[in-house]
Amino acid sequence: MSIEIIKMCLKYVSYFFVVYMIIYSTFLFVSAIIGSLKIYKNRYKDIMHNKIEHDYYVPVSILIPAYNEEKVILASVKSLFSLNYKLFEIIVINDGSTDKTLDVLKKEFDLKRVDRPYNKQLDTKQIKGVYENKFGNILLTVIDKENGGKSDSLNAGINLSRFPYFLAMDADSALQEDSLEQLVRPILEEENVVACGGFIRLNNAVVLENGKVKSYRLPNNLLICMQILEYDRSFLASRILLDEYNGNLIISGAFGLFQKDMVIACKGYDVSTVGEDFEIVIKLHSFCHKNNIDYSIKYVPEAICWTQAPNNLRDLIKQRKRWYSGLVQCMFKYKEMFFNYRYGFISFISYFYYLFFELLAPFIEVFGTITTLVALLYGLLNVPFMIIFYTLYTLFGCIMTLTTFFTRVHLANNVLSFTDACKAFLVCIFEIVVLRFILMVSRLTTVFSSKKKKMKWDKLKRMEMKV
Amino acid sequence: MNSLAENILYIYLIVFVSILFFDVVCIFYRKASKIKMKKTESKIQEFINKEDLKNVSLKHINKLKSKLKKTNYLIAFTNIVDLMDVNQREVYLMNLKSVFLYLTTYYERKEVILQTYFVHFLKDYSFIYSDNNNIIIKYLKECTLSSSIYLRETALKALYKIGDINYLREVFFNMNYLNINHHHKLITDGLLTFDKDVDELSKMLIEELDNYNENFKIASINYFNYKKIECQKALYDLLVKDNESKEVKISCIRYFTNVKYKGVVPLLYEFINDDRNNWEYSVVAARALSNYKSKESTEVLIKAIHSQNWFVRNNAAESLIKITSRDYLDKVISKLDDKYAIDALKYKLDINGDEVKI
Repeated sequence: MSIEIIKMCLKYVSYFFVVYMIIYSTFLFVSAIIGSLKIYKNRYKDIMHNKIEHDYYVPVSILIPAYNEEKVILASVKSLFSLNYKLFEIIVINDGSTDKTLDVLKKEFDLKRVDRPYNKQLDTKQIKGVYENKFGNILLTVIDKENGGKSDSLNAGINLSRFPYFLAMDADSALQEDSLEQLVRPILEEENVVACGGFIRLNNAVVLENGKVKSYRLPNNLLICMQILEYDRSFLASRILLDEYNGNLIISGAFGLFQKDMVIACKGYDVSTVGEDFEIVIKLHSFCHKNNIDYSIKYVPEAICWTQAPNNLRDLIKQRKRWYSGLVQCMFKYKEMFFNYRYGFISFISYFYYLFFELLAPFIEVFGTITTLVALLYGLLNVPFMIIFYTLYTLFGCIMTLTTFFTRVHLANNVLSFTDACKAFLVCIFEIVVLRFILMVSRLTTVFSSKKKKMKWDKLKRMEMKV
Repeated sequence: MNSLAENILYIYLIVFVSILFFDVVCIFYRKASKIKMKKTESKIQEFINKEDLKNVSLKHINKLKSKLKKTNYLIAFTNIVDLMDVNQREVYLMNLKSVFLYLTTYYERKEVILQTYFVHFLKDYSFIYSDNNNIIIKYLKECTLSSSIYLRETALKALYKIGDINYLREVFFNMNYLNINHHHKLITDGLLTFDKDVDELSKMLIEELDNYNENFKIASINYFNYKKIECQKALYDLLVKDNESKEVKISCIRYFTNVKYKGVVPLLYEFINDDRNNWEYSVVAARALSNYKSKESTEVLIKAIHSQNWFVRNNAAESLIKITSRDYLDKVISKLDDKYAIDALKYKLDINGDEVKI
C-alpha cells in the first residue's frame, strides 16, 4: 500500500475523530450547562415555594426484588418506614434466595403466612408463599418465589401490588425521607406522566438517620470516590438535558416510579434482558409512540436514593459488563428507533447518543488507538499537537466533572470540607484517565466474551448499610 | 479541522471554569446569605418593635412599601411576623392593608416564580384583605388562570382560606371555560381544606355540576364522597346519563359506597351482573354493595365471586365480609366448588377476621 493511500485514509479518519469528538464534547457541554441551570432554577423555585405541597399524594406500592440480601434488606426496608409519605405499601420479592433473606424478614417484622389470591396479569415463576404484616397503615408483604431473576421478581411484585403506581428499588438502597414525595410530584403536575426517575447517589460514605443525611464525606476508597464523581456527572448532566425533551431512555433500577397499568399494557419487565431498567423505559417510549399515547417520562434530580457502589475492581467490572450487555440487548431490540422521524428527538438525540457514545464508544476508542499507532509508525503523527489535544480533552473532562460535582454540593446543601474539595480535584483526574480506561476494557471484553449472558442475578459483595 | 476542534475545546473549557467558579462562589454566598438573612430579620424585628402596633405610622407603612419589594426582605418579614403573638400580629397586619394592596400592583407584573411566592405570602394573611372584592382578590382570581400550576394551586389555596363561595364559583367557572387543566386530586384536597360554610360550598358545587368538565366533576364528586354530602339524586342522575364519561360515573358509584341511596341499588346489581361488558363499573359496584345489606345484595355478591374478573371477585368478597357473618360465609365456602371464589373469600376472612360479625 503506498504511503499516499495511507495518508489519505488517515486524513479521513482524523476528520471522523474530530467530528466525533466535537459532537461528543458539545453534547457533554450542553448537558452540563443545561443541567446546572435547571438545578439552580429548581432550587430557586423551591425556596420561593414554587412546588406542590400536599398531605396525601397518590398511593404507591414499593417493590424490592431481593436475592441473597440478608446483610442489607432490613436496613433497606426500615429506611422506608421513615418516609415522609402517607400512602404506600412495601412488597419485598425474595427471588429464591439461598441465604437467610426470608428468615431475617420474617423474624424482624413478625410476618404471617397468608393465602393471598392475586391477579396474575404478568407471567412469573411459581410463588411459593406470601407473608404479610401491617405497621400502622403500611402493609408489608414478602413474596417468596422460585428464582427467576430481577425482571421476573418485579413482575411478581406488580401482580400482587394494590396501588396504581409502583416504585422499583434495589435491596441495597435506602431512600431519603422526602424522596418519594419529590418523585411523585410530577404526577400531580402533569396528567400524562407514566414514569419518573430520581437521582442515585452512593451510600458508601453517608450516614442516614431517620431518612435524613446525618453526615457525608468523600470516602478514602479511590474507586468509590471515582464512581461518586461519575454518578454526579451522569445524573446531573445528561439526564437533565434528555429530560428537557422527554428523551430519557433509562430510569435507574434502583429508584424508578411507574404507572402500573401502562407497564402491564407493555407486558411488564422483559425477563430475557439483563438491563431491565433500560428495557422498560425504552419499551414505554416505543409502546406510547406506536399507540399514539400522549405521555411523558420525567427525571427528578431532587428525589434522592442512596445505593451501594462496588468497592472493589472485580465487582465494578462485573457490574459494568452487566450494564453494557443490557445496553447492547436493548439497542438491538429497539433498532427501529434508529434515525426514525416518528420518534423525533428520542431517535435523533437519545438513541443516537446511546448508540455512538455508549455502545460503539469502546470500538471507536480502540480504532482511534490503532490509527494513532499506525500514524506514528509511518511518521504521520503531529506529536506535539496530539499531546496538547489529549491534555486539553482530559482537562475538559475533569472540569466538567468538577462542575457537576460542585453543582450537586450546592444543590444538596452538603457541607463540603476543604479535604473533600481537594480530594475531588485529584480524583477527577484518575476518573478520566484510569476509570474510563478500565471501563472501556471491561466493555470490550463483554463483547468478545464467548459466554452468552445468562439472565441471573450478578451478585456484588454487600456491606451493611448505616441507616 | 484540528484547530477548530482545539478552539471549541478552549471555549468549552473557559465556560466550564466560569461555572465552576460560580459554583464555588455560590457555596460561599449561601453561607454568607444565611448570616445576612439573620441580620435582616433582626433589623425588621427592631423596626417593628419601635412601632405602636395598634397605630402604625405612615412612615412605617411607606418604608415597608419600598422594602418589601425586595424578595429577601419579604422572606425575612414573613419569618418575623410568623414569630409574633397571634393577636398582636393580627392587629399589626390589619394596619398594613395599604402595603398589601400596593405590593400586589408591584408583584403582579413580576415573573411567575416571584408571583407564586407573593401569593404564598398573601395566603397566610387572608384576614387582612378578604373583607371585600378588592384588587388582591381580583389578582388571586387571575392567578388561578395562570399557566403555572404552582401559582394556580397557591392562589386556589388562598381562596379556599378566604372562604367566599362566590369567589370559588367564579374561578371554577373560568377555569372550566378556559379548559385549565388542574389535577382533580388537587382540587378535591383543596376543597377539603375549606373550613367556612361547607353546606354553602356543597350547594354551589351541586348547582354547577352540570356546567363542569370531567375534571371538575370528578373533583366535586370525590369531595362529596369524602365529606359524605347528601346529594344522592343529583349524582344518580349523572350516573344514568347516557353521554356522561366513564370516570365520572365511576366516581358516582364510589360515592354511593359511602353515602346510601336505595334508588341506586338495582343499577348496582345491573352493573355487577354485566361484568363482561362493563367490568370497570362492576368492580366499583361490587365494592359499593358493602353499603347495602340485604338478602338480594348477598345473592348478587355470591354470584359475583365467581366472576372471570379478578377485581370483581376481590371486591365482592370484601363486601360479603362486611354484610354477612363468618358462620354464613363458612357455609357458603363449604358449598363452593370454584377455587378462585374460595381463595378470595378465605383470604378476606383471614385478614378481616376480627372485624367480621360472628
